[in-house]
Amino acid sequence: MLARIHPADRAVWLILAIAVLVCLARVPGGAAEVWSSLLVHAALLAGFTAYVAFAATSQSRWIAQAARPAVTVGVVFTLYTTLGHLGLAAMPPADAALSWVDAHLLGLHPVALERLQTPLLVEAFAVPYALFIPYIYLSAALGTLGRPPVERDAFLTGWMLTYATSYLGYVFLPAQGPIAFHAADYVSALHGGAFHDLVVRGVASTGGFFGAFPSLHVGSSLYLCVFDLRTNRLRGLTYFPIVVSIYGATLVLRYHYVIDLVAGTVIALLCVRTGPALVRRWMRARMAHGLTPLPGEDAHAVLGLPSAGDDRT
Amino acid sequence: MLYSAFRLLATIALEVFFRRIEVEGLDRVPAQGAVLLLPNHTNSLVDPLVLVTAIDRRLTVTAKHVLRQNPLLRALFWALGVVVVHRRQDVDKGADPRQNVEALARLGAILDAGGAVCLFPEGVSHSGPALRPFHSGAARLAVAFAQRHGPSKALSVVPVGLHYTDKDTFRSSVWLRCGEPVDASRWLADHPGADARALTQDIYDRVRAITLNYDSRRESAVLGMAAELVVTAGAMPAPLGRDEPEVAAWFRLLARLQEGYRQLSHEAPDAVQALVQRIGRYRAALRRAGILPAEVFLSMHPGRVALFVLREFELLVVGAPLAGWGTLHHAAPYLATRAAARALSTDEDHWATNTVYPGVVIFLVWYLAVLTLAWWLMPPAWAALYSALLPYTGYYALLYRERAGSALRRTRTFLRFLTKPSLQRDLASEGRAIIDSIGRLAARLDSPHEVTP
Repeated sequence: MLARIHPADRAVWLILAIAVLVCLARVPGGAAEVWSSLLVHAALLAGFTAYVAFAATSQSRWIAQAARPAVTVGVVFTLYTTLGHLGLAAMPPADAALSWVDAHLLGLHPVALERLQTPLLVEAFAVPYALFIPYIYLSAALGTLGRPPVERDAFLTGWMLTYATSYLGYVFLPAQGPIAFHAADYVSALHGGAFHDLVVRGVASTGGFFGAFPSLHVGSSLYLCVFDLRTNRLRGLTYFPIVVSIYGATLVLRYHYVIDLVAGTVIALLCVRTGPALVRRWMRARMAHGLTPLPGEDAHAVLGLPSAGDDRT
Repeated sequence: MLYSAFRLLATIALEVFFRRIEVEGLDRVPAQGAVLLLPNHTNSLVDPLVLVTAIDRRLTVTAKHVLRQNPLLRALFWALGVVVVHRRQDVDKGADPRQNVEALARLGAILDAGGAVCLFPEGVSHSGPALRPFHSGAARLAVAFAQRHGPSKALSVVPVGLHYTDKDTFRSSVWLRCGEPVDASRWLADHPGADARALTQDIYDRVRAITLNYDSRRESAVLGMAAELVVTAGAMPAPLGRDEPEVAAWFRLLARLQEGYRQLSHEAPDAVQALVQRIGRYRAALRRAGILPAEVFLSMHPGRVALFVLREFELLVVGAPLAGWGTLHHAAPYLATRAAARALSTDEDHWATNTVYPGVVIFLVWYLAVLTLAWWLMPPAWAALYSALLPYTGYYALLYRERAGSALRRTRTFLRFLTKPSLQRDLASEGRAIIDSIGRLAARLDSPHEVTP
């Protein structure tokens, strides 16, 4: 049975299971929020398990081409908010430790950047920070539609693994970032323009400040960029400057410590390598169990569209 | 130091000039010890450049004496330790073939010291359809080495094949293929009484075996047209940015087609001639319509079209500022290089050389001037950013331009097919019929007993 389960599904299932276990461990004497978090994550785990069971036995190409990307990405994006809140409710905050690492090991106290945070610079960096959202949605679409099956599966597995690994930080090292932790230390609040307002509203709409460590803005966008550089060089080169700007933006906008960026970078680079390796291993395991390397007869087709090689005009 | 700097510059220049550089059999070039590389010679001074950048050890190359008349090349030859040879056909230009004794002695000394030497045994760069007869200098060098050292010291003679998809086209591709090396002293031991002439013939055969050699330019053209069709497999082309087949695979396909073409030209000449004429007519029709062979099988499926629009529009819009910046800052040296190549080139053999070498100089001077200005006029942080962006955006603009051109071309073809579906239907049907015919002929090759008329 295990050989039938896609590695991307396994990664997402595992982080959901960890979330439920953390909730269960913290429920006795825990905050009310842990209870609601348990309900949410248990429901997500149950639903996702049902999907995994169905996907593992289905031979439909829609699973690989549409259902898996939609379900895994949907669940993982939901976890972005829920796990951030769970971490803060269930674990002691790690902001002091992260800030100490920045100041003492990396030599950069977060508040020291304040002199650079002019309205012009804040607004300039708010643009790439805001571009992160359309970038990941476009990448999700282009990364799963029209890609050769093995490459698509490697892309999805590595990306989901980037999120799943980063979420361990959200849960076990919960942090709100310098903007909340050092709020009293800054002389003045950030001021920018329309783009900065957009970013502020966006952050507020997802529940405020949480999940600072590691930086998924950096991790996710770097993963997408490096994967593109390997498979679609022009797209990778197109977004590379934006990804580099996102590094700066996370610091200038006070959302992250430098150590968050370092961790995000390491996770992304590891996952770019691990994703394809896991898919290859999964395909070998399937073959060892007498299955085809990829499920479904028409795993090469794309969303009901004719694929390269079978289109007869 | 000078060699390493030159190698770095050459690598950058070739990465810009060629779309793809593929190297095969590099493990056949020993990392240490005496090596004599013997490639075919079809692309003038670009050939040694490809070798110098591909081979991961210091390589001593040879060049004809007349090139030293160019002061820039003379300085380059001096810096890189290029050994100059004097050809008989250049006597009226000041060459002195007697000095080749000294040149061969220098090359022999480099080999004795365990160095790597590259000689072009054809003696001249050319655009002929096949390998030219070899001069015996390389073999004499190898025989002399073997006689000096015997079996105690090995000299690996490595045949090399250089293949260019379109040597007079910017952003074409190159395939460098190293053949099985021959140990000079062992070869002499295995061939008692053999001399340099016999070794020359043996090396010639080895280089010929790893290069494509046509009977005529017509044969080359016919096989090229057939390969362009076969490679489409009559199927929808891959999305842009993912449609780069391996260069080696292209030349292997050409070699397979050539083998079949030659055999069937004897066994079934009428069928082959009819097919050749049909391919010629088809290619002419495609040229008139301005359509590439692969585009004939373009999908008209709305979903595919939507994906194409999303993919290309995204890049076109998001990449425009980078591409614009890169174009703005590189248009002048690019145009100057193109003008220099046009002014200097009298034949297709030298076009790449006249682009790459002046291009390196022009771009170096341009970068030096622009960056000096930037660091003079801008605050350091901005100057640093500008310096980092300059080569990045230049390279980006190059790729963007290619991609935008391909997207535009594909869009144009799509619109033509949309307004005139019969055009695509007819071209696709004829294209597939030709591919099937080639397949049927290939099947006859696979079953020789059925070839009887």
